[in-house]
Amino acid sequence: MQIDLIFKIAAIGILLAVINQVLTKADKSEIATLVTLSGVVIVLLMVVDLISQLFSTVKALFGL
Amino acid sequence: MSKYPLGIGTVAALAIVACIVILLLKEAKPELAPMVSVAFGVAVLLWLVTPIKDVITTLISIANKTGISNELIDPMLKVAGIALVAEFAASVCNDCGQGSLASRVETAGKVVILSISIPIIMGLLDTVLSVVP
Repeated sequence: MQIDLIFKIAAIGILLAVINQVLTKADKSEIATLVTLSGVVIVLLMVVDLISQLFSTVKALFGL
Repeated sequence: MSKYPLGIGTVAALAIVACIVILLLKEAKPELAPMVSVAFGVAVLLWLVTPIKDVITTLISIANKTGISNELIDPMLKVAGIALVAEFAASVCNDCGQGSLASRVETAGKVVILSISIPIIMGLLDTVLSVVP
């Protein structure tokens, strides 16, 4: 079921926020930026996978 | 209703859950909030595939029974698919706060739909011109 992805994204977001706060408190804000970037890329990869699945389904369905 | 994966009640409840998740993420990580809405939109559209397939099969069988040619049904289905994809992309752009991108996508969708429906319009014109002396 694709609804798992929503909770996965939420979990990644909360985890990223916590890591970000810890790293910022430890004066490692440049690493915090990298962590945020990698988290966004991971989520983007999951969402793009789902979008490509949708587009191939729509292509097959409507004969585009 | 039961032969489809999800009813309207489930979709509505999951939409409310997604809304709350988005609210939560907007505070923690604002850049991930549009991702949740995109994921939910794609998930809903993927659940709708089975009903859409049923409707299309019915439409094609009606067309076959009434003798409407496939050259008229195929463009219609294509227009429906393009409208679905373009509307989805435009609403995602709107969610990300890019209204101008959304309207560009809508314009592109309209132009593609127009170019697909030109043969039908020309066919109608030919029919009208052959009736009118």
